[in-house]
Amino acid sequence: MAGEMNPRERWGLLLIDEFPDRPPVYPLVTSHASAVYGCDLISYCSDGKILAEAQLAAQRKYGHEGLSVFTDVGLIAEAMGSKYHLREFEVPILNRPIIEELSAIDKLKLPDPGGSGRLPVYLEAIEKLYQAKGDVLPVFAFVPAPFTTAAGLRGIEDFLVDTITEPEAAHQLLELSLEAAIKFCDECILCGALPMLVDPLASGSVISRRTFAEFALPYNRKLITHLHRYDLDVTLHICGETSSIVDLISDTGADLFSLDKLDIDIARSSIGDKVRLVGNLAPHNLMASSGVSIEDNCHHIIDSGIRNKKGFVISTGCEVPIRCQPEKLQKYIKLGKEARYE
Amino acid sequence: MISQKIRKLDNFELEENPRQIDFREWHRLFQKVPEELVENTRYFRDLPNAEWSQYLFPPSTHVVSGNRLLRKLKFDNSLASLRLWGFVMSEGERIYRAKQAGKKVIAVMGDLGAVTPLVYSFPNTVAFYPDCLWWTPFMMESKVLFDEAAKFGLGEDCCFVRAALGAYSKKAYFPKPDLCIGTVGATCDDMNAVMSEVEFLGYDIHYFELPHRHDKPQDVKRLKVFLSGQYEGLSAKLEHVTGHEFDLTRFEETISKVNRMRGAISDLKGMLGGAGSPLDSCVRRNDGRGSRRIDRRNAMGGIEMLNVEFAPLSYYGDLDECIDVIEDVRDTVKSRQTRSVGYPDQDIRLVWVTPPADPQLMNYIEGLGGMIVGSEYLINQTTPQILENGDPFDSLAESHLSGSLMGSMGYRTQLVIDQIEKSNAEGVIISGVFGSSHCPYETTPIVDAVRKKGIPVLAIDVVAPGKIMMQSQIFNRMEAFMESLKAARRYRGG
Repeated sequence: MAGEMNPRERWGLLLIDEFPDRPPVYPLVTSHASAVYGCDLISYCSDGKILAEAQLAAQRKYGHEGLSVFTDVGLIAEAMGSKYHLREFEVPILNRPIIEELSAIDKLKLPDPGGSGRLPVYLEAIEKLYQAKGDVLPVFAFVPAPFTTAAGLRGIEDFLVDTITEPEAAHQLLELSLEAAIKFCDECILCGALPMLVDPLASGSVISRRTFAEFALPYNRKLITHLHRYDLDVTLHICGETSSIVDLISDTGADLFSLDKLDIDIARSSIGDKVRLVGNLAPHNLMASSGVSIEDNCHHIIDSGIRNKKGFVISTGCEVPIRCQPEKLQKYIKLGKEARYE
Repeated sequence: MISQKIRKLDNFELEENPRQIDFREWHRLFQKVPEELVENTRYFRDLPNAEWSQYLFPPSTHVVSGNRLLRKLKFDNSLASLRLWGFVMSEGERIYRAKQAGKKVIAVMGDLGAVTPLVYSFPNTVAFYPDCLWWTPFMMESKVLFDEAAKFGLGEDCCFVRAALGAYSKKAYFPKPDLCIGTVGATCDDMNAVMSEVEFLGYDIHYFELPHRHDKPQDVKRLKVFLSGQYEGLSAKLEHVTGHEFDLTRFEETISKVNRMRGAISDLKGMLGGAGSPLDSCVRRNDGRGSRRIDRRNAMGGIEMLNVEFAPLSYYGDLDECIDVIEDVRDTVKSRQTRSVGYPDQDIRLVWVTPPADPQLMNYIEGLGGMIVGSEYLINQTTPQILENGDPFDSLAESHLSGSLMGSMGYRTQLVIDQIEKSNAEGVIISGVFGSSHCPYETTPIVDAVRKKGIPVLAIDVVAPGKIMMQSQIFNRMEAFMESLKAARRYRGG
């Protein structure tokens, strides 16, 4: 159809405060791509070529408007020495953190994006996606934020305890995690991707507002400041409940906030004049077992989000489930593409 | 609150010696740029509190936006070059920001820089040049805009300027202009076809007619009268659109700025072209303080100079800032020549004819040892100084009459010969455009005339993005051409 914008054009306008023909429709299709492509998750998480081909296959199937390079939130922690267990049908989980004693922090080394752990898998995937579709589709590299990486280095429970009993050590770990994230973000940029920070453990479902303000926010801000030096628009994704911290999101400097279990009206009234919102259909709605109608659940999100002053991206609250029902996702994307600004 | 904006970079260099670096190196070198410079290098000085007006960013910033060719280019390593690239690559956003800030946005098409001085003499008004969207498919290595133009019947039988039609149709590359000015008559008829289609899309176009120049002295007066009338009509239209009356004082101020920019570009071309024998390892130049040795190594890249030479078409949307950007490049070249430094291993002197839609070609020739010392980019009308105190429309008309495209092939051929003679060029490259109406007619006479002067010529057609096999053939021909020039130099004892 003559005159129709492509996703790259739509995102480009959104990021300079223009309203494109409609909001970009970008559900977080990550590991679900492996199901579309027909590969197991071990291959998906450890082979950049497969990750890229799966992403392209999923995008061809659904027509969503962005490519997502993401395997798991332990990526950087693993590259620094933590052990993760890769599983055939589920995402990787932390097996053994590298920092069992706090004294080991001094021995930690920053990862080499070109050689440590599965970081090269990411970079290979970005390269391939950017080369294949970079002119029409933005490529997003989901980079674990420092708080989440620190938890992956120390072990989640121990790290959360450290924030109370050993705050200096926690900050030391966070500084290293920040440096590693900056280094990795730079490489993702050079491969053509826009870094998107994912900080699931900084969620209000996990930590208090005080802990977020003291241990997560400052490092996110530093990382985003680094990316802003390159004039890049940064999305911050925090899983779960964020009503207790939503007003602090703009203090991180994030240009877009990808929200999960938060009413979009609250997000709009709290930060909508400063931050673009990305969200937030609850992923479980996409499961066959959920029994809910997509239409019933998405209208409020789209109708409210589209009125966000700073802009809106129609998305899911978190990753599309690996075993989502494709018809439901297709329905959501179709409804999203029918949305128009008033 | 934003502090004082940066006006000049004062030859601040990040590295001691000039060299060409890729986007990866620029990404890292950028960390050495002082924060204050990044913070305060901004466009639209009349909007001092705009949060979005920074533009001193490295090529990697624009890679992320999909400009894939930037990953293959080699850039000059000066801060002036960084500023130039940042300014050029931010033009699209700047035009949108202009509209958001309430400025009038004027699209100027087909005139190649001759009407913009008048446009900028109206307050709160900026111009942009849709024809220059022809670089976008190459920068993005994308067929999107060409495919869009093809939906309207403009396919490969039309020049790459058809990308502008794609952009008009998609409404995602510039805001809706408050006025479109379309120059017709003795100008590019591919762009005229684009304009017709743009009008069918519902855009209102004010047509500006360019007469054919017979290159006979007795015709000049008649043509000037006609053109002056065209400018007068355009001025009335701009008064209507902008809501401001034409103001002679403001016009003269604008012309003064335009002349300053043209002067800086002329200085730059003079410095890079410089007189000298191809066989000397250096040349001597008398600058009034006695004869001194000037290293003739390349002091600025061809793609940077391409950006510089195209600045007078619409000043990339901000005349005041553009002047400083260009003057910074000039000052950098001057400083380098004073210090006798330049890129290593680039000293085969070349004149480039017709702007290459694919800037990679220039990098490639430089990588083979070439340096571009002269050019004829079809924009000769943007080079002369405009009379500042005469009748405004007569002054513009007179400047316009030096245009490259509006006269005979002989005239343009002579422009090329002049460039060769001025710069002591050893070879000429003509980068034609397949489908462009003027290229097939002009290339042969130019080739013949240049060869008569004993100068080897390589005539190529720029290959559309994605045609890798054809691209490699062009590269092969460039390699053979440069080999023959090197052999000729050896034969002459150089």
